[in-house]
Amino acid sequence: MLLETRVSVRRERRSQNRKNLVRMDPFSSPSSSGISSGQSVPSADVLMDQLKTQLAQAYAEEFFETVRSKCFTKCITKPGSSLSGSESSCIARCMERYIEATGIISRALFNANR
Amino acid sequence: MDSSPELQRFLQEEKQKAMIAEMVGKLTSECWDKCITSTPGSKFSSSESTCLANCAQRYLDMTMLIQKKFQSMQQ
Repeated sequence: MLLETRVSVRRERRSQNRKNLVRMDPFSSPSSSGISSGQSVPSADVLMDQLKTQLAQAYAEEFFETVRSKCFTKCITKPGSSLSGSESSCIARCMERYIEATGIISRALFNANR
Repeated sequence: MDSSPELQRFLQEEKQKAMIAEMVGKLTSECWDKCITSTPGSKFSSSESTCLANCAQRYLDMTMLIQKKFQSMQQ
């Protein structure tokens, strides 16, 4: 599973960071990077915040990719030398509909637990 | 600190949430393909939105059916 892999990769990376006192972690927040070598283990709260941010980013990236693929399929049937006005408005509608569809599916899944 | 119980619990929760998000994403993707056959409009027709809701629920029904079948196959 994509997200599980990302979570475990980031967990690995964080445990490596804890062992390397001075290594710069591109994902670390300003408060935990660039500190003196005396203390470098981020607190649990910082880790949890970082993870939440990274997960939110992963969800957003995945969603973006899905929407891109679906709307390309639906709206760009005969690629021209530029995006036409109808293609652009189709894409805008497609994005809105896809977000709406995600809501319909979520609600249907969670109202099924009666 | 390496595996404080608070962190463990948090990771479990986030893992759960990630699994749910993945299922919603995958299901939306498949149901979109099944239900939205024409160019997207400025709103869903009632048949399209019904199809989407049905799609999610039938997927759950199917999951239970498959589980039951597996169980009976193992006996």
